[in-house]
Amino acid sequence: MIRFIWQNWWRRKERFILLIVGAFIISAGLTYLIGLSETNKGTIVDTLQQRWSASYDIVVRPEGTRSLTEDKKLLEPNYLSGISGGISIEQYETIKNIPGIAVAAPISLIGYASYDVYYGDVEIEEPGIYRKVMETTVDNGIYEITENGTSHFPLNVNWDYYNKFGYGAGAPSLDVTVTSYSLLAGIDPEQEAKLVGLDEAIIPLGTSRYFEESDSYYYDPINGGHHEFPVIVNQQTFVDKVETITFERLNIPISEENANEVMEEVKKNGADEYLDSIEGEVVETFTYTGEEAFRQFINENTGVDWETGEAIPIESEGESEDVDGESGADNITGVVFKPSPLEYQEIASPYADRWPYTYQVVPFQNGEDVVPRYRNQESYREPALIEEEFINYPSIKPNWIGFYDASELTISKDPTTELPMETYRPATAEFVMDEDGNPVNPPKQLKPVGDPNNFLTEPPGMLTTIEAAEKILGDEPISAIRIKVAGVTDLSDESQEILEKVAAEIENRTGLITDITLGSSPQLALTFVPGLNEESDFGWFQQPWVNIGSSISIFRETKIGFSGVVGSVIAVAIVYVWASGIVNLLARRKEFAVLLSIGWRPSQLSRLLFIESSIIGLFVAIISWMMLGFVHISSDTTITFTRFLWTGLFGLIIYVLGAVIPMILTRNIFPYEAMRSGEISGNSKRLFRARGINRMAFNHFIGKWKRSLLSVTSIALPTSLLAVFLYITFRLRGIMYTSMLGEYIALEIGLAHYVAIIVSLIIAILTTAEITWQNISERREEISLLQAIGWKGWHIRRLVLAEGVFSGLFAAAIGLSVAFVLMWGLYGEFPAEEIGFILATGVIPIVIGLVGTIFPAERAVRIVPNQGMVGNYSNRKVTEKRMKLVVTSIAVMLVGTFLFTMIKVAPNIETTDKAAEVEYAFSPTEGEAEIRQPVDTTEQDKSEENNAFTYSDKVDGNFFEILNEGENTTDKGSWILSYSATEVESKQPPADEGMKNISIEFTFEVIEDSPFTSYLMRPKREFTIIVDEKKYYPENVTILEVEDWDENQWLKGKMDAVLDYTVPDDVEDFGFVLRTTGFGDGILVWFER
Amino acid sequence: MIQQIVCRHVEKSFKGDGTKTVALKDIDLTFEKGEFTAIIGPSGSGKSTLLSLIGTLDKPSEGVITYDSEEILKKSKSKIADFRFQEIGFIFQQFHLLPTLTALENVLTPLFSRKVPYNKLERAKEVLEQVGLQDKMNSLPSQLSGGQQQRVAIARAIVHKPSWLLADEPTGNLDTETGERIYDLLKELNDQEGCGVLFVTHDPALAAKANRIISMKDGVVLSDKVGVTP
Repeated sequence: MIRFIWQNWWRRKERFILLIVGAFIISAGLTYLIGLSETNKGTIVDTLQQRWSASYDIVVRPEGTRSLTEDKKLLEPNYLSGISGGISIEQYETIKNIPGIAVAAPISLIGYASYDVYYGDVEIEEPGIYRKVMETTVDNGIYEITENGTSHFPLNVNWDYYNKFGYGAGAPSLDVTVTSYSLLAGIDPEQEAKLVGLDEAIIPLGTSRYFEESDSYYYDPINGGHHEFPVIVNQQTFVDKVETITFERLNIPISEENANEVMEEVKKNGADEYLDSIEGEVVETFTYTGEEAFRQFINENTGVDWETGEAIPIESEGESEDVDGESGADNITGVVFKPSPLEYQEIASPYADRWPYTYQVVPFQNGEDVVPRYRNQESYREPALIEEEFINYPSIKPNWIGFYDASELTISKDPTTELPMETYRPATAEFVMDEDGNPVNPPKQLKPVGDPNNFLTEPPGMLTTIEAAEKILGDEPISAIRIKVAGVTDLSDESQEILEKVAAEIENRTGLITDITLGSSPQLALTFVPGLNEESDFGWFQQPWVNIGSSISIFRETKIGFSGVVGSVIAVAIVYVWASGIVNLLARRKEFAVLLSIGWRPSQLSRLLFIESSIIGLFVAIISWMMLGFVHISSDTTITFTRFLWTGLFGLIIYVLGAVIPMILTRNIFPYEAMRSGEISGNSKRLFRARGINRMAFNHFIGKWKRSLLSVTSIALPTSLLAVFLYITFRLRGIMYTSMLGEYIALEIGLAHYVAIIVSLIIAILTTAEITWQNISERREEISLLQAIGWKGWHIRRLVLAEGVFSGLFAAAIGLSVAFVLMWGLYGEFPAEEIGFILATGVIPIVIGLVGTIFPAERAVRIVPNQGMVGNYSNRKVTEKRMKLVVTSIAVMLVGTFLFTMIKVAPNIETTDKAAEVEYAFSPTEGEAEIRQPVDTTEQDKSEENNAFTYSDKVDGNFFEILNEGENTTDKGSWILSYSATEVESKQPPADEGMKNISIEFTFEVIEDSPFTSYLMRPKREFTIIVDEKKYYPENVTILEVEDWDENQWLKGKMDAVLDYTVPDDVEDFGFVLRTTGFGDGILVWFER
Repeated sequence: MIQQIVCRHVEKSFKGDGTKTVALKDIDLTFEKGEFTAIIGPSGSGKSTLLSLIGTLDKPSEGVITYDSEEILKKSKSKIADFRFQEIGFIFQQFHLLPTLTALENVLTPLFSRKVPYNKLERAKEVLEQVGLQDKMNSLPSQLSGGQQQRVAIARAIVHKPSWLLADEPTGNLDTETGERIYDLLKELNDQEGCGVLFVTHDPALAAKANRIISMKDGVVLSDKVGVTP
């Protein structure tokens, strides 16, 4: 029997090659899709679990600490640093006792401890009036911020500074002291060790160690009382600052004799201002970097050298103490500021494709009743004082016990994939666009500036115990509790379920709010940071935010989507196997009838078909196993045994199942069919009278509708999948590519999807080829007849190809209809926008139909008129040999190519968790092109408009919109806002010589249905007149009418106002520019005179 | 060993597209083992249909065919197939050799998965020798001439030692000379093996050599002459 089957295959070589190719494609496809893609997907899950996993599964926070951004499931980086207490120790104990909780690590952000570092006193003897200039220069990564503080004092002139006020000078201040802030936080040492391995991150330096049981809080009531507690200190400083203290001796002759007179003179001349104006001669300059200051602080407090960890000889420190007797004696410092959150406001993203989430920091306007530093000023955070009165500020004496290195913690370490949920590192922010919306290339990294109320959140610099936090802060010291739940090891629905239960339990028992953080991923968000205190705006920052729980849902969807695609490939494979089985049966129908008539039992025929299918199935299985095995060995890809087994078995099962239909069909073969001599046409149905080649082909196509249906189905199925998948990809691309996880998935999974579809399409080509082949074989007589009556080869070719095109057309129609139905089912909408490219996918089936018939068509053309009846099988030795060679080489080539690709690809798949690959996967997020692109397009848009106006001579730059005087944005089609400006008569007093007044009245109204509801509107800052690159700000603002203007900043309604400008006399044409949120490029109104 | 095949009131009609074609009408015939019968008649007279009914390839619409008083056709398809295997050898006008198999393999096909008391390969070689093709055993049908192909077909028909040989225009596709030789071969088998031979032919000259001639027209037996051969 086997021999019989083999001969049957071997002597029909062309057919056999088709069969083998089909088997190879199916086995390769299955190997890739079931065997390798699965591992690939596994890698993604692993990557997520390893790198993007937060150290905790649930975060518990006090009521009311959810920020606005959490409406969108977004958490700002280091969000924990902005919470100041709210959870009591009892609540913490309750949570700790909830079953299932493995780790409950509380964190209490106590506040910003100011610490002074004292470097000793300057040694100046010469009498005189001195100026002490304290200059702090902080590099925030974008530019340097310099703050100056000056004070004056007379020295050694015996002037009674204690009782004299208003002279602009005071008591001598000779100390060299640098003040810094460090965030102090309380933790539970035991839990923190379990959560992030803090105990393992202690640097073994000198006596440096972790917390021990014996470390305890102590309240020292002496001298107003202070809190003493153990601290471990972060080894890293994050602020890049330089402190310079300069002592200058003023050029005012002063001595003990004339001190009083000179000082009276100073007072008369304007005291402070007068002293400031006097030149001085530098006497001494001290410069310290932030790091030096911090080290000194550590040295002072610990008595241990920063670098060596050795005890610092007491003498050196003792000396300075002896001299001063006061500074640093007790190492007591104070806690002034509590942590406070940033206030965000949602705004329209300037580039929604890239950053769907955009926020704006709302600065806090301070009044009179704050510390002088912020009095009547704006700050990014509300300066929250730890106590109302200065006198009540807690004095603290942190007792150093050890250093820790945050990079040694068991949290994600790679900065490119870091999930900014841990409070151990400063948040990152990339400066990507300036205030006008121009891209910054390359983007700059914003650095913390050491100001507790600045934009960037800082990680704690010192850690103490919760016990100390409670003593300092009172009843509710804990800011948040990070929970790790037992039994939650991977990203899965089961894990989610467990977490939901635990979270609900926590909420029930304590009334606190919980959020499940498992499966969170980084999400790039854009933040607009406005300038403070009339300064120009900072610009746009890109920050990795935390997208809460996004990965679980994305994974669920991808998983389903992927299974669907693999399922359809298998379906297409089954259709192919059926088609070839049926075709095989049709081809051998007469042969089978003969076998029956010479005494074969029908069951023998079934057995024959079954064995045939099983052999190919086994072949497919073995090829798959070989490929998997080879890939496994050569690239160390791990494949589980069950998956390995299934990959092969799948092929076997498909082929065995494929035998079922032909086996059933053999029952309809009757032995008497052997007696029939073949007639040229069977009983084909006709729709049209055959008048030309195309109609003839169409009649054939319809006549054999059953098998035509098979080929149509096999083409239609992948076509509809392709259309749907393309649609989803296009639809999701915007969303996917803006989240880092989505991008990752789009790159990794997308490939597998396309491979699946390509495999299906190739199988579809094979199916069509197989069926057309059979049609041709059956019509050998007909074709030879047609040739005999004078048809040319080209006609015959066209006849066959036309049939393929019909298959393709039908497949396109069916496939696309199915695709539209699917899209409707998935999204409930008709893809009107993408209709073009979806219809374009309809070309693919037609091409496939055509390609599938090329081979058979060539065969048809080769039929020679007199050959119609005669078989052309041969078993000549030479042919046999040649055939063997051809088949073997094709097989080797196919397997070789596949293995080569796999080996090339598989290691990449496998090593996705290595840095290089990850960087590659993320490069689109920080590349230059991405940022430049949208701007380029605006440039293009605008350049067309440039021609229409003459403004370009006078005004540089690109604008969002350009209007003429009196023209309204709505005239230009804006549905977001209505804005126009005209010149009005100036009511200002006449301007100075050479200047003139211009007054402009504008109306600005937010259109009701607009999605962007709020604009920054501080007329003195947003509106400028631009002439020859010179900017003029309004001298005066007269608001005529205004609605919905929050805090005189945020305009949600409308405004009608007159702005008065003073410009040089010779100004004629000028531009009037409004730059506000959402219109970083600005709206230009061109005034032509 | 079936000694006698009896057709009683056998009728065969084909239905199709609303029309009913009657191929055989009320046939009453008896065939004895060892007879050498020729069935002649013009195209469409029902000769081949009759042959396929006798050979159990098809079932009559009316009437019964008994094989030694047994109604084989009422049995299951497998039983009928077994009967064909044991008793009947078929020879077709178009030879119907399996194109992918060599002469020897073709001859072996009826014996696939059948238990026989003799050595299959020896038997196949023996019958090929019997038809004079011992040197063409490993040739494919396409490498053989028409007469050779028909001889392979005959070898295939007799390899399982049937008691009846049914031939549907065995010489129809052959030239006269070759046809004669095929005829002689059949005659020889009839003589030596004692097979009952029924053959359909157009050729009156060949038919004339048979010892029983049944002539048919429009599905009806016109005449049935027995023992005409000298």
